Amino acid sequence: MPRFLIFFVLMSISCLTNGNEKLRIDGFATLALTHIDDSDVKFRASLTNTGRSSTSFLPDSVIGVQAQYSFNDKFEAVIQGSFTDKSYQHLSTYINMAFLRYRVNNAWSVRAGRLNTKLYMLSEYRDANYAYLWARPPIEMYGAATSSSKVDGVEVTFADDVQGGHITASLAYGYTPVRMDGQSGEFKLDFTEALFLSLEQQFLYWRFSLSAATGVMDNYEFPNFDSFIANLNAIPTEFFPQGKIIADYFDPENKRANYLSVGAAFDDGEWIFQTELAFYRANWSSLADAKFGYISLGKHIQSFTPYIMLAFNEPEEDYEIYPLPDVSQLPPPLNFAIPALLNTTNNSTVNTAIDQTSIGLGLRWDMAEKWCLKVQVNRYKIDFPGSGLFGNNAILGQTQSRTTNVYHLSVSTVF
Amino acid sequence: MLGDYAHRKQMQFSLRKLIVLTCILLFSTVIVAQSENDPLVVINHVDSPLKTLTKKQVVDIYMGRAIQLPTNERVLALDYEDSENLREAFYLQLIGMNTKRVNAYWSRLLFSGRALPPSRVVDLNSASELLTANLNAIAFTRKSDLPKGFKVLFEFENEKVN
Repeated sequence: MPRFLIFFVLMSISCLTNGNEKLRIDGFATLALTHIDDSDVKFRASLTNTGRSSTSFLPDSVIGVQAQYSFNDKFEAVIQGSFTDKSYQHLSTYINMAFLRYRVNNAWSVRAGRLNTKLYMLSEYRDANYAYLWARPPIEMYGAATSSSKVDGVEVTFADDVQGGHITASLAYGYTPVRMDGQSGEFKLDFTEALFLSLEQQFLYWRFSLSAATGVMDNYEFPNFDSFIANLNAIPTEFFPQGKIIADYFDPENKRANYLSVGAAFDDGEWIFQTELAFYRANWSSLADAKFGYISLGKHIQSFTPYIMLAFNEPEEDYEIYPLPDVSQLPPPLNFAIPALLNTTNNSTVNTAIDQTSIGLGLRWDMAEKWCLKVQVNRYKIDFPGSGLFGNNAILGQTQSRTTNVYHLSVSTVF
Repeated sequence: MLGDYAHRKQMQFSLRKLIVLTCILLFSTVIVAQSENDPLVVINHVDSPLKTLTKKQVVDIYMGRAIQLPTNERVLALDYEDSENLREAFYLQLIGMNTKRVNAYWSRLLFSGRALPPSRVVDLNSASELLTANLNAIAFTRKSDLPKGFKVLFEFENEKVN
């Protein structure tokens, strides 16, 4: 229901703007058909989306509208909403931006409200498919990090010419709500005291970016999580030495998450190249410490741009699957509580662990002004455990790595 | 007989093709020569206090890096809905980008909420009306098309563009 409501509201705004010079409405849309050839896992373009099996229009299709209203020469409001396959269907999750901006001069500006952060190179406009080369930003890089790409807070931006290029520096502070929904129930987490710093240097053909973010994890809610932690802590250490270690690793409250990424992009009208590399630390089971990145190269041949992309997302340390201990000598309820807790722990690790690499081949065809068609094939090699970016269809029994192909055909436009 | 007829037809066809190609070549040469002698200019209304712009200032305004004119007024940059040849020439000379790359560039900037692209108008007549109504508005055109009542802020040199 909220999806249709936001779509209706944004379209209504669009209809009301005819002839209003202070209000500008723009939009973007992608109609995409996506197919995954693996019945054990479901495909999703990001962790906040719903996993889809087989062939579906939902994983990569999107429609979005952006409204910008100028109160005067210095003061303006911007709102952008996009209608995607979110798992948590609440109005606020569809709002990418909703902020007021005060432009002090050409160099300085201040924004307040819901902001899209420059956490990585495409994070500010990742739903506007027409604006970039690929079918979707590489899920190894963007699949997990997207969940924290918005911040409700304030940002100061400075932009000026430096060293023969144009530099943009932003500092944002606020909190980032992360909301998801799935078979296990609703997931809620806030990154509070979140601080985002980004630098981008742009030359004629090159762009370089550096981003860093930090935040404290708070207000965590997940069904049965509290009782799970309580049970882990309730068993004496002499019977279950791993209990407190697992409890500490699974509980995100008051832990600080840190993120760092670097990127470079080149486009001279003939060759198009882009790469990013990122590191994430939080010491938390559901989003384990990891490094991830990608490299992409394409060539413009008139209206066609074939490209290749390699991507990876791997944990800093191997995931731990606990063997079930011999509990035959333990009294009840320990003899069934300990295996049950370890089973839950292992299931959770299998569901959330991310460890995969991929190769993608694609073709973009700019068939008309503001219209493009994209075809892309991705071959994912997923280690065990490591299918967390995908939605799992009960693959706990399989302990080997797997290979999965995802096919994509889409038409995108901006209007 | 048949061979003779076929040979004559082939000659006629080749001659026709040569004439068409020559015409195209001559026409193209005239167009190129005209373009080279008719530089692109950035213009505003004669009543505007703004007298001149540098190329860098034009780049900053048309690529969303500057929102203010040197007079500290908010600028209204105008572009065209159609006029694809004029747009292509303008952006190639301005920043070395064809319009396809310019569209992608603006999609990135627009949907990141950072800046708005130049306002698109149908043609030079529509642009003239806006330039008259808003003295902080600027537009581009060929020098020979400069309407009465408007002045040149910046003139492109006849740069060779690949």
